[in-house]
Amino acid sequence: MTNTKIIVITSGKGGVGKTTTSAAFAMGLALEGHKTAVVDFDVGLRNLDLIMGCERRVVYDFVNVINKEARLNQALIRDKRTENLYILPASQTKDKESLTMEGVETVLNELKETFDYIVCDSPAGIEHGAFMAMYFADEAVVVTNPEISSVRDSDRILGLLASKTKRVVENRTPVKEHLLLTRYSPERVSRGEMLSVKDIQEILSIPLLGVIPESEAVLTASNQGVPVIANRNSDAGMAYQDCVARFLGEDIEMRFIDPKKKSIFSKFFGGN
Amino acid sequence: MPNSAKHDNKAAFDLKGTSFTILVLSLRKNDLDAAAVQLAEKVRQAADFFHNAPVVINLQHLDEEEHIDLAMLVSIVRAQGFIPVGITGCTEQQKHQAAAMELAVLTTRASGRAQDEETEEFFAEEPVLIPLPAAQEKPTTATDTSLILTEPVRSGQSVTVEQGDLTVMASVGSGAEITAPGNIHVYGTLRGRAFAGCNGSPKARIFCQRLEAELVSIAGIHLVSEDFPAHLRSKAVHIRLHGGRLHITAL
Repeated sequence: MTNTKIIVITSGKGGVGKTTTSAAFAMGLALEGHKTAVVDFDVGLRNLDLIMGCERRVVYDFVNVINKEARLNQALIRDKRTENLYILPASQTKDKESLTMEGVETVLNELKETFDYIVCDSPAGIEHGAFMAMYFADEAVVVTNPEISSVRDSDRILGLLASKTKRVVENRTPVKEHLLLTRYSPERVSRGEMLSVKDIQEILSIPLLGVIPESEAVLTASNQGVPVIANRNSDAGMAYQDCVARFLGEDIEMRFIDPKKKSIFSKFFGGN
Repeated sequence: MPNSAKHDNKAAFDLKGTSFTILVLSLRKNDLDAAAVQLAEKVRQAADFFHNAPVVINLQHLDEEEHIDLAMLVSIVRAQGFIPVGITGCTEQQKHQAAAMELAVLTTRASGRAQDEETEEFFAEEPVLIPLPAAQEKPTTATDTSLILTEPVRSGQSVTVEQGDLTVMASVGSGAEITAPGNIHVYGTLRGRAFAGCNGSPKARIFCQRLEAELVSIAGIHLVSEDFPAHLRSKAVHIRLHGGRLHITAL
């Protein structure tokens, strides 16, 4: 495919929802009919297989393919629920240095022959693994929590995206950046306990792709090994669907950014 | 990161005023032969700096009554590798000549002569408006190495200019550092650290649209965020060194 897009899901900070987002995003793209591969770059701390619920089917991994110990289609795991969706798991035993620049490029080029979208799940931090995940990207989804340390780390990642990626080195148009806020709680924002969408956008000044509300559905989904986007009734699932649609060019209004209006009953009975 | 293009994919272009640093050749006497010889000598010393450099010809120092062979002057300048883009400080008649040669007539607040009322009004908002390709935005002369950044300075980035001022037309992130021997201007929020007068110049100043800095320093004298007066936090301020102390005042 000549139009394959490589998307890196990155954040700098750990625990903000990169892997959750990678899984949801990749499944969302596949559900829209795009052939999608999601690649775990977190060598040594692999998680994506768990979130995708395919941990029992991992035979070969990303590093095996780089080291030519396995062919790419031996390592790719087909998602049982969704057509068009494949997972390339990370190695749990190797270290991040196993991801060589040439090796990663070769694997991505081979994936490009078959897939419309390649979603790269970046490890936390700004070390080699994160650098490899972002280096070949065409677009970046910067996952940020509404708290200052996460915002500052995202700012740092944006600086690296603008200076240390292949597109910049080759003088092509820079990596297209999208802001994705996760674990957002409009109620806490309204009480002044959390940074608002507006605050964060003002600091990071990149376009907003979407806001994922803090939701119990996310933890449940992770533990079940089902990407949260598959739960079409959950707020987080719906929010991810909106994000994917926006990413694909649809104009959809932001949801889950205002506090829930309490119903008459909850006002009387204090419940919700 | 061309922000404007990214945020707005409807408009095919933006039309905005921008200031450029540009060479001005001010003719001191109406002796084109001498000017040609001296200009050639100047170019010989630093050919690279002047090659294809845009230049504005300033005639304000010459007597209004004197006839100047503008066509000849332009060809002398062009022969040395400059690109004449406009004239300034000229008479009504010279304006017509310039128009015939497709040169812009420029007015600055200081360049008296051409400022009849009409042009004063037209240029009131943008004193210098020179049609140049965007690539010329970086300083091209040895006399001015100031830097203007249009993109945000992100956390972890460090920007240092060797000479002159540093201007950032966006925000400076928390954990970023900007350093200049001259003044620092931030037309966004300053959240990181700013070091003006880094070569020891006590006259350097820091200006910012919104002060949320971690640290500001002029000539090595610094103040950390904690020491900023509360009422000036998140305000547009001006910081200078006076009597060995930094003074922050609202703009």
